Amino acid sequence: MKLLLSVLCVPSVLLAVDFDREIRPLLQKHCIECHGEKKQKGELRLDAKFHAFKGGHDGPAILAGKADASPLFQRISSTDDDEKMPPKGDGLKPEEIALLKIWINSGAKWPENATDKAALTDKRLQHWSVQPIKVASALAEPLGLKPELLSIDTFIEAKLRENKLTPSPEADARTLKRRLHFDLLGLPPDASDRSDQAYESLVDTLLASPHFGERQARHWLDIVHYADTHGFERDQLRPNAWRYRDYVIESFNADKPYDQFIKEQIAGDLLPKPTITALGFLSAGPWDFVGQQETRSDMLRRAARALDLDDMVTQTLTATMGITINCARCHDHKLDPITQEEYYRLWAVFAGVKRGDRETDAAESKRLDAEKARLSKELAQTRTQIAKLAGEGFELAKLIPEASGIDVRNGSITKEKLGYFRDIQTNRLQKVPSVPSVLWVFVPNGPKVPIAFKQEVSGIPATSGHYWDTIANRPLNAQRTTKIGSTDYAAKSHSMLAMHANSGITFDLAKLREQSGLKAMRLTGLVAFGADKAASASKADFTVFVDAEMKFQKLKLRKDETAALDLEVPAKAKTLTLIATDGGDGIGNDLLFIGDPKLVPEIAETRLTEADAAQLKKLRATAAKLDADLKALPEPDKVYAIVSNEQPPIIKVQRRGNPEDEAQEVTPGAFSWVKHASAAFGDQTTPEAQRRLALANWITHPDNPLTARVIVNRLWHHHFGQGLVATPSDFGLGGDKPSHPELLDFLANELITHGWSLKHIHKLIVMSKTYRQESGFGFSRNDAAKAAATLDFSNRLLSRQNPRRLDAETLRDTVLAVSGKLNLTRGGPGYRDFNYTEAYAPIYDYVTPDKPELWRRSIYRFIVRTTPHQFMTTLDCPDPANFTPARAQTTTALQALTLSNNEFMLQQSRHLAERAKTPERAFQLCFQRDATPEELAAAKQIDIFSLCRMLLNANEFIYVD
Amino acid sequence: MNHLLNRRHFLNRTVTGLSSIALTSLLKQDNLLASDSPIRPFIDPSRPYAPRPPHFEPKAKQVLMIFCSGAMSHVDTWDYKPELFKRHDTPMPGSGNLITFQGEQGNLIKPIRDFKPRGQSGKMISDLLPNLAEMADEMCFIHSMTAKSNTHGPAENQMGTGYILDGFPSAGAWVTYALGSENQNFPAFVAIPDPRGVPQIGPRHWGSAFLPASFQGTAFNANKPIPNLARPESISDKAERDTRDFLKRLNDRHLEQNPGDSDLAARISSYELAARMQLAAVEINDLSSESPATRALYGTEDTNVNKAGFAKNCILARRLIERGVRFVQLFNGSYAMGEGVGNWDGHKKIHDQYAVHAPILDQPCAALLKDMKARGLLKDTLVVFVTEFGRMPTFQKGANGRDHNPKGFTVWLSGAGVKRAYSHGSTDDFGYQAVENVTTIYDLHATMLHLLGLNHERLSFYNNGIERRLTDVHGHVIKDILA
Repeated sequence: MKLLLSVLCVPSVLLAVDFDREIRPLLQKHCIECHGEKKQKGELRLDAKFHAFKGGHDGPAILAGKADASPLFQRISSTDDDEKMPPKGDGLKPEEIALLKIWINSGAKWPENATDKAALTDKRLQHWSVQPIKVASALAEPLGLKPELLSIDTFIEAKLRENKLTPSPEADARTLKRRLHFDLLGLPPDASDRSDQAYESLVDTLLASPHFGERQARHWLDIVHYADTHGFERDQLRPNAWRYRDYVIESFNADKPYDQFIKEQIAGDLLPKPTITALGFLSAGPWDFVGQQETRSDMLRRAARALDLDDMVTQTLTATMGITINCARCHDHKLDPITQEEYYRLWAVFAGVKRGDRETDAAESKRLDAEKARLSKELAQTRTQIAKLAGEGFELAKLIPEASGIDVRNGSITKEKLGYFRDIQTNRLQKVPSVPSVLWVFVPNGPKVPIAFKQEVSGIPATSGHYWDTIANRPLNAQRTTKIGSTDYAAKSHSMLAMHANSGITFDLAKLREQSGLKAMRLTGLVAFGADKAASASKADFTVFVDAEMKFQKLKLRKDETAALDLEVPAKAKTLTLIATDGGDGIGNDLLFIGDPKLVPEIAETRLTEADAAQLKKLRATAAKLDADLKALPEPDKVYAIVSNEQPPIIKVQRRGNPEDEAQEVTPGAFSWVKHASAAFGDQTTPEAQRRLALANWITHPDNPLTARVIVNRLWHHHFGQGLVATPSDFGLGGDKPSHPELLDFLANELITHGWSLKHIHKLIVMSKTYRQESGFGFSRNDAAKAAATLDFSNRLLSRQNPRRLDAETLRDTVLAVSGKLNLTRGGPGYRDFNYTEAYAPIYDYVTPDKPELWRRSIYRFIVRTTPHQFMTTLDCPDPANFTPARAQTTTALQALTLSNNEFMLQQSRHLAERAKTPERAFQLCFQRDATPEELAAAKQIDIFSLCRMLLNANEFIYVD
Repeated sequence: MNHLLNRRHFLNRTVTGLSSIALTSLLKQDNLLASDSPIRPFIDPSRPYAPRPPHFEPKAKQVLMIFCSGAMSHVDTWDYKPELFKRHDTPMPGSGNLITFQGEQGNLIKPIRDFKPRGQSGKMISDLLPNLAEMADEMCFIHSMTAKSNTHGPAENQMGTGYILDGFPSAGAWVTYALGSENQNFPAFVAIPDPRGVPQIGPRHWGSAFLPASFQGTAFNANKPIPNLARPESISDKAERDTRDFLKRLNDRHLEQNPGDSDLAARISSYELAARMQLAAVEINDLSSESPATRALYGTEDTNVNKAGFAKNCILARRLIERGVRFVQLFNGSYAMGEGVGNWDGHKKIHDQYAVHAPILDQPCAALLKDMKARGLLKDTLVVFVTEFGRMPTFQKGANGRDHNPKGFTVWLSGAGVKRAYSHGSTDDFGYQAVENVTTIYDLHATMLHLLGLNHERLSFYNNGIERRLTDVHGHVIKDILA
């Protein structure tokens, strides 16, 4: 201590400190591990002059001439354990601290050396993947070849030679046939087809097969985490998601140019030929119903929206360009030169986009809408004429006092507009004392619902049990519209009975007859939504009972639909019950109302002239026909995609990724690490659509070095079990380096110069000698093979093909194919191998019925996001909560048990046994080869079912050599 | 194939002949021994459950995690707040117009049962769980736990996987990924669902997400065996053996043609393990070897079928721990039945609801702790008793129950490596929010891994550009509770 004091007391000017001899080594020894090139804790670097004086997270660390005010000095000299630097170990020696103090106080002179200069350039900008793709001539030159002689094998063989390795011989015809079938179609070869079609001709046949797209689509859907339900806590159905899945299959089958494929998926609605189904790409991932809609907390809503945008941005950039953009959400990217601001610029691209069902053909939808409007209008007019002829009838809505409603909780009459009720007892009849002709009101919740004293009905769906406002003779709280077509039912000349889901009302017909003098009657009116366009996804049900008999039911009525009521109410009937329920999707927007609900006299009861009676009959027939036509109008086709009809809100950087802590505003754009085109896509006024289009063009720009490299690497990955870059969705500094960078560029060039044809790349790969090699180690073959087994264990250099195991989907499809049960129906809604129970959080119970509908290819499985499919999951089918660029492969006892004993496997073993009949045939079907005499002898010791069951478990069945 | 598997190929195909010393040095070299570089354990595909060394000397070798579904009220059980008795039916000071998950709050309401001092430590615990209360001296309470979400699904995700989002591996998957298992006849990670069903997020509690599927938990309980375990009834034992022999021959021949392929060898051995597992799994659920006294202790013959079922699950949990299963998850309560019906979600009628749930949990769970202690199992096993969040000290307006409260609640630990009869942290005078030594679920997970000899900041798995951890970028080991 004495020494320290004495040194510190020496006026610094008297001491000359040599930076390079005394200070640089000190920094090296104590600081660089955490504040150097590799790691920058607190964003501070002390290994180079520029960075050291720039400082870190807390500002400059060195203030020349002011040691005491310099954080660097404060921290190394601190006695506080939380403050002291370095945080571990003994810290700096007193004399070292003193030296640093003197150095700072004497002006912190830092003579620049080579290291300092080198640190000025950001090496990350030179990362291989963002450099332009080398053209063929540049690739050919080092090999001393003409560019047109380049091939996949040139590059592979050159590298093998360099490492003194040799390629393996070509695999036998049976192996190649299996390999091609599984890689291109995901199905085994037909065992009965023993023709020896020439290899290239077989390749062409398979590339042209409609099953090619089914196989390739599975890979793409893995990286976009496609599923047929929303995910999260309330994992509801997405009944229209499949149209995107079919779009992907069709695109691969048609060999759609890859750049167009990408453009359509990001901005398909904006292209000359709109492709709406492609937009399912942006919405393929999970969506949080509770956070986005149900919650009443704005904070939760912002958090949910943040996850939503993060998902869209991450998926788009990892799938197309292999950039782990999501790493820059809370801070600048730790490895790649991408700033947090650049990440939020991508948010601004999607800020006006929401997930939702969208009509796939706008013109057709418009036509259907117009047709619907026309029919509705005619029907309303006809009804008016009928009402005039048949008498005025009796207005149901007006039983409730004017501008009032019945509170379903207690049967009282109120003029107030009430709100959301979630805590009411359902199925409890409530008297309405002040309206004599109304017997009961209640909140229905199926399956059994009491509608009157000691009278229960069934056929009413289960509901959320929640309820909104009242049953009213007026618009409801938050009612968006009271119009159907051009008729406003809130107008004086009309009436409306508003019934939000979930509510029910039972009228006393005896009282009504007394009041109206009518006997046999008809109930007429028009049921509709009082919601606006924003509620397009909402559904509700409407049911009418006369006594306990269901007279009318419309399930899942949509907001732009109406349902006409015209039903008989016989003279002897005692009660009339109207029930509105929520359509299974909660009560949001279920603002149902009946326009002009009336009890009109039955014709027979009226005293009309013959002419009028005839006219009435005609009108009724017309009304019936119009009603039927209206019902026959098809729903426009929809796809779960994105809806975007608003000017995007302004996006701000979120500090530490916290939506509650916003910083500066950002404009739409991308990151500037790749330099192929401007990464600025406009300003705050740029329309939503233009932003997406700009991003799509930026990604598919022919000079973008990543897009082409990433996709050809994915194709390579699927044909060899590993990519030239082993991290297919990470081409950044944290990802793998390419084993054959020139080959990657060769393939990328080929893609771009061949009109972005993926089939061209597939064909190049499968035609190569490299692809056609044997997959075994070939230990016995020669020394080179042995050398390969030791030198290149993971076979990055490809001195042989890699044996691969069938993934979950292919395995299931193959089992079905060999059992003869595979149902090759293509496209359309997925098969559902579960029982579905509507509930707050729907319940999915997987079942295994042995039925042709469930024997379709696995690509057509209706994928439930949160309830894993036990069979598929056990076989490594990935969780659609995640992006899966490369499937993991595990080997577990549970797999063995599943493949031996699972009901599906047993069913198919039985089918296979029936089909094969003999062991000889069973071997041929499963392995596409004849059994050896020894195998046959052993097989004959066991029964044919057991044999088939085991063949489906054999390694030879499950591996592609 | 991801690069983890390349590593596997690499190791498996080359190093099997070398000594374990060579292996260790190779691994160390690979990690560069940096003090905070990620540690990704290396998985031998033929033995994914092979025991793997921890990062440092562990205090605990196994974990039993007891999860109470629906959010158990801390103020009615473990967290004694005299002020609640004093201020019963008065507004909570300073709460203003507090809006919680289901809406507005009414007055403070005293606990639904009285509290008494328990054990030698005199810890105040309520009469709701009298048998568990007797075990107070074995427990190490954390009264200052907090959760990130006040919604069951995300909060269960956080307790189970560290993240409120779907898609992350469960704690048990992480632990078995890191450590493998001591028992090669059994899955390394077993989840025991309640006889009434599964919690809100169901299988995500034991999912492996992006970790290899081998590390997913296998779910079964005393009533519902492992799926696909039994051979089909139509097949005789002999036929089954013959067909397995046939398969073995078939696979052996195939392997001869593909020498050196460890994946093929791994699949062959997986069938052998499956056969052993069939025997072991039948044995483990055969409680007839348990003495009548033990069965009575747990309450397996109780007339309440849910209690008897849960009691059997508790015995099953102990038997799995005894056999060296690395991570056992025992669930109490199910969500499928709806709010508060089969779980601790007491919004409306907490008196009635808890009167149903408490007896199902209490005796069997206390017996489990007692039995494990008597058999010396607490020496190597860490018991972690959790729920997704706590409940409000107030009743909801217009209801006789408590709303969700993620701002402060209680979990407890017991057994290997933690203090006995100890309480860490506290909530305010009403039990509304954690105020002293505020603790997060990240901290709990960090501590759990620490006790297992694992550095929570280094145990990682590369997924889509990020070295993922159970504790994300958070978490501190709660040193205060370490024994």
